[in-house]
Amino acid sequence: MRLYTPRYVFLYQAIILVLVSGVLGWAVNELRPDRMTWLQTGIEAVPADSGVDMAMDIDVAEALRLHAAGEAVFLDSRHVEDFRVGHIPGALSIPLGLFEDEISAKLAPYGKEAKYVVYCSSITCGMAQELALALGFMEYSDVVVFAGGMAAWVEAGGESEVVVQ
Amino acid sequence: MNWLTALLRIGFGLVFIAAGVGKIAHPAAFAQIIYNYQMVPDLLVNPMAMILPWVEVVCGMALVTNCLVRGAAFILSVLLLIFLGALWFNISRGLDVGCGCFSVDPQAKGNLLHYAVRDTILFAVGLVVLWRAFADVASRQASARLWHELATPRTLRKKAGDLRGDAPARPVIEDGTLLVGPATQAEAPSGNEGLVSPVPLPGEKQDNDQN
Repeated sequence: MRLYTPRYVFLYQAIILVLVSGVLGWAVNELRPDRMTWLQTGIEAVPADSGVDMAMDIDVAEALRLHAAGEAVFLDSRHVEDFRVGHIPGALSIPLGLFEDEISAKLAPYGKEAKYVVYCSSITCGMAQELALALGFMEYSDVVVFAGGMAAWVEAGGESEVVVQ
Repeated sequence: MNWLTALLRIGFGLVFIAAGVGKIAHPAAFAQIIYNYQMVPDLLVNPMAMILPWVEVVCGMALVTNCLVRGAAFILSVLLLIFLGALWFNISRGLDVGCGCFSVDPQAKGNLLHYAVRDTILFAVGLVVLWRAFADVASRQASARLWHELATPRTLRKKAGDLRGDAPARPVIEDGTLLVGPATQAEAPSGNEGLVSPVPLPGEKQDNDQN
């Protein structure tokens, strides 16, 4: 088999470019102080880039228990439209983008020491973590993230509430 | 039109450099975005987050500096096609993930459809750049072949040494005009007195019809 064929020069070029990129990517990652691992399973090992401790996660069983016991206030971080279509009964709608004083006003009846459970649509939605982070900055002391969100809730047979217009 | 395609090539390269730099700076955030697309096995998320931005930047720089253009244009067009497929796949299954096109913010919400249209336009530009890269090389090769043919005609090559005396002079370029053959050293022939056709031409009187 001939190694060099003029017709496939573009493929050789492509291979060279990809190899150069791979070497650069590897080298730069090795030089970074916050280098990532090459092979891993699950997103947990990806470091958070904010440097702030993430709020504690709870799973759907714990969320159902807290909801049934009425021990926590549920906060829905999704857009208002999604909230209207269906949310965990009793949850408050705190869409991302509210100002701090608006959030404080909404949470005033419960105070800073109450237990809050923040959720959004599913595991891939980052809004719950973001809202929890914001609440942490606002010195709400007991905020947890229900990472499974609405998808896990419905799958586990939790009830949902719809806003009728 | 050369300036237009050169402009397209450089612009296309710059777009990818711009897209790649932010991802190189924040590989972890980019890994999160790739994960959110839910199309790559978990094992490949991190290697992809580390190498893909570099592929974009290296190929973009190759296009801007006009080296390895065919390979770079090929890679970037294929990448765009894959991105386009991923976007459409997630639009069709209603997954509203961050695009991860130019910004690594997973919450950089926007209409995925809008991104798909933008990608389609970019892909069209990519195809033009790719075609132009191949066409440029093909035309250069054709020019080289023609020049070789003019400089050393078949009569000069091996097995034709007995015809060497008929060899035309080397072609030259004067004032942008290619001059080939005897015209380069002698004045142009005024008619066809000196030229005798080796085969009988139609309309010519044939006086020595032997057979």
